[in-house]
Amino acid sequence: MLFFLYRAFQVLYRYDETVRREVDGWKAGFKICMNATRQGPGICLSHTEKGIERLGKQKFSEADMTIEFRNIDAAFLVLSGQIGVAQAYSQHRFTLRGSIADCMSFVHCVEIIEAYLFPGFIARKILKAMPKKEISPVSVYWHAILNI
Amino acid sequence: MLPDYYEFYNPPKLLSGNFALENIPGALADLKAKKPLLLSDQILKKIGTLQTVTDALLSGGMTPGGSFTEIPADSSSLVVNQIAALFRSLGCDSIIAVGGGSVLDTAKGVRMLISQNAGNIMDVMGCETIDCGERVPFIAVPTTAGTGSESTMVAVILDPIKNIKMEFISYHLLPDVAVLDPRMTLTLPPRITASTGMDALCHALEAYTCLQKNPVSDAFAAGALEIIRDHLRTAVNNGKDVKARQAMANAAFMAGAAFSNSMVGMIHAIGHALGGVCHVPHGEAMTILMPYCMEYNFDVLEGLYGKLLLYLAGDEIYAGTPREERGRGTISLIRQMTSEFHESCGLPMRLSETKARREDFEKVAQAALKDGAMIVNPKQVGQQDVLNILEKAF
Repeated sequence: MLFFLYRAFQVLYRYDETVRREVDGWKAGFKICMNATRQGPGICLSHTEKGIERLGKQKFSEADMTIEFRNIDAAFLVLSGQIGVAQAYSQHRFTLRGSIADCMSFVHCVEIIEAYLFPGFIARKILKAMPKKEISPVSVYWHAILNI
Repeated sequence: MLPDYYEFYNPPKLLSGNFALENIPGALADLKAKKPLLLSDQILKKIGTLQTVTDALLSGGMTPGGSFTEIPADSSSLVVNQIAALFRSLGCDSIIAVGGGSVLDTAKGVRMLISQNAGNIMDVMGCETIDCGERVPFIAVPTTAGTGSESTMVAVILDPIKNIKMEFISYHLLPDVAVLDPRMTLTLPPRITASTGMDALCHALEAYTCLQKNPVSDAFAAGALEIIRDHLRTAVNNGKDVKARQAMANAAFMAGAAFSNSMVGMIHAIGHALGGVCHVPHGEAMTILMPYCMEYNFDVLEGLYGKLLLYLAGDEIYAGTPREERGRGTISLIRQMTSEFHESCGLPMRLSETKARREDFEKVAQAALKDGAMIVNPKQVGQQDVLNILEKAF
């Protein structure tokens, strides 16, 4: 799930202006890590001149921002679209190491990605408002699966 | 409505009422602390408020291990780091903070640095990531009745490089003891009494309406609003009224406990940004923005605003107002209070009466969207929405 989120992020950096604007506001080389739990699976992303790139797990210690779900069920609730990021924050489902301002920018991107990836009836339930889509969700899936 | 899941945490021991200050030495002894560092600001030192605290400590046989009284109005990470170094060099073992939001938030930052054995506050930034660390007993003595910082797990500290107010959120920021002594707020001028009181009102209002609301925080918020309804006007118009002062100190504590657990939303997000970019005093920003942001959220929050009329106006007015008019009634009531304080003590009603400048609105809007409070606002807010609100409030 985290891997697919990363792939969709990569695609939308190229095709969604809002995502691109948010990410370009981050400092060069900014590293974000997301852990399903402290010992569980995770992913580390970096903003480079090519856009969004995945980093190896050894980069976790160098992260500028780390989002860690408190338990695997909390991660599943969010990543499966049962609750939104705002609700997860409200319910203390994850912790954040790093700047809250940077996290808000990342959350904005994740909410846009969710609007593309989840069917409308799920997205409308977990998002406060549906963002304007600049590419079809099918295209996002297609690009993300084939990594093109 | 009961949320699917919520947490509530409010451990400070509350010492409230006459001669509460004199109980500080005993409270420190309970916490096994002997050498506190006293933190405050120049104004409180000059007007003798700090002396009242040190006299109370002396009466209990306690002398502070040192003091720092240069905390500015918008304290920054540099000040926090400087005080932490002083704490270590003097070998202090605890903190007593006497002041408004800036002093208390600075003290929280210092305690976090010491307990985490860190050198720079920016190294421990985050939300609920730090553990309890080394124990540093911390006593908070608020001298305004508004910020509620003595009962919150949030510290707002300015990043002087980015000129952004940074939020630090951790259960371990809460003080061990909060001391509400009426002598601490008796000298507050009417305008500051009004703006800090409106800040407490805004805390209760947003706590009652934001995404993290829960039955326990609702109870604290509703109780705070009733006290504010009954005592804020008296505290503003007759600052020497000890009962009103003490009531408002309690309201601020309760509203703080409420919003510490349910968080605040867009009013605070924009207010923090106005503070960081334009240096608009926090209470004044809250007062001005409240009705405009309530109008913005109205389609989502009409029902909850309607319920708030009971606490803000009382049962007679609530019962006599048709259900569909109660939400608007709450906004009107807040406008009416602001207008009264504008007349009686010059509390600003528009941003044009403050340091805010139109040319900074773009920057303010960008900073507001990156504020942690924005995520718990129940309605999505975009940059243009913030700009529209700022324009209306100007």
